[in-house]
Amino acid sequence: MRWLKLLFYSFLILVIQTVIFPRLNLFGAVPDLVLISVVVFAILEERNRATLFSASLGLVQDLLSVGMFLNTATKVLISIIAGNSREEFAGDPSALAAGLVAIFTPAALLAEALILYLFAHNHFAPGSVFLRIVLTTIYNLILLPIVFPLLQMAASDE
Amino acid sequence: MTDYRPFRKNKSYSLAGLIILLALFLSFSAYRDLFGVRPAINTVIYPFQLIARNSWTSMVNFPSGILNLGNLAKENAELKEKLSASQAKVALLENLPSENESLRKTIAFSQSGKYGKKLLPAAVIGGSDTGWFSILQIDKGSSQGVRVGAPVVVEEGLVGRVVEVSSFSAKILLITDPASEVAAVDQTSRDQGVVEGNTSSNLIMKYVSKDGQIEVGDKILTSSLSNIFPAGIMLGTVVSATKKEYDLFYQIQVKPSVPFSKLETVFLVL
Repeated sequence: MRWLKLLFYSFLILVIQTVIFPRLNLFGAVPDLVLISVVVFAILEERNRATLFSASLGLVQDLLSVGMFLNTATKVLISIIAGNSREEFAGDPSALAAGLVAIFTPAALLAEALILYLFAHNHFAPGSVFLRIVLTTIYNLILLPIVFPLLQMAASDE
Repeated sequence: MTDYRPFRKNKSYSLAGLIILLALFLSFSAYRDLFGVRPAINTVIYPFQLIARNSWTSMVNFPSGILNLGNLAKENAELKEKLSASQAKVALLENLPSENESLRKTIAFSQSGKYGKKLLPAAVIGGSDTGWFSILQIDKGSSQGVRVGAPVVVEEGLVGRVVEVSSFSAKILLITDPASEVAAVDQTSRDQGVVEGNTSSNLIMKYVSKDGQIEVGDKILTSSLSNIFPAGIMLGTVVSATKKEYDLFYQIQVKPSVPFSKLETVFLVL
């Protein structure tokens, strides 16, 4: 039942991510529900489960996009670091999630831009990349309070 | 318990490391579609995307529907006051000519045989889920005869080309994507160049010799040198063209003619 709920949740966020969010595109910035979910799941769950969850979501996100498997790699990395941070953190999990989303959103976008620049020779205007990073981080922080309880509910045994 | 924790930790990192390495390997290998998994995933998720798209459209149109109902109620009240049935008819018919005109234009464009080929209309159902790729997903796929490389246009100009096809849907790489390159020509001076996408709102036109005569306001079209796109499709208008003494080429910015954020229907050149 728990995995069924998680499967439904994953399916739902991937449909929203590919259909609804592109229509909310603001100067190239699109919220990343998968990143938020990966951070929250890594805080709530044990490392191996979190790694598999992030790898599966990242992989499907990449398969629904085109080109490289950047989401798979970055999401797994984020999951590992978020899981480790949870072990060192004694405060409110939702505060930790907010801090991690605020750090990982720009970090992941910068890493992806760098990889695309170095290996796919894509050229980006620095101003628009900066704007995109700022707006995506704001988008993600706004969505976090909605995603956290939803995923908590999906991941619970009840 | 404490004794095997470090082992478990290492094992977890190995799994993560393996996945990351595999993802990076796949990214730069020829197996990017994972032996057909990519189109299969797209086919599976397509009906749900279509439902989500229709729900979203209804939701977005709902407030305007309410607003229109409000207007109609107000109008109705006024009409009751005036006791004039004919005025109500006129008010109701007022929107029909523009709606009719819009539909007529869409049909005329799809049947125009423009670019000498068949134009297949397709509805936009989704887009890129990350900001780095400028991609649209449409509701036509290989079962409707769509193939990879097919140019995609609207009345205002070139949208992009099909880069991936599954049974009932396809993905279009927009000309605004940094990976997109289109052979282009200045309509006035006939200077040739290459139009590339950029993360900013404008396109970049490259490799135009500084001996050329590019002016702000010039129209940029697809060139006959292109193997993918038919010649003469509008790309945009030059908004800045500078040449420095030590440069070999112009530095040109082109404002796209297509309103990419408002695209709901596109046409595939088949």
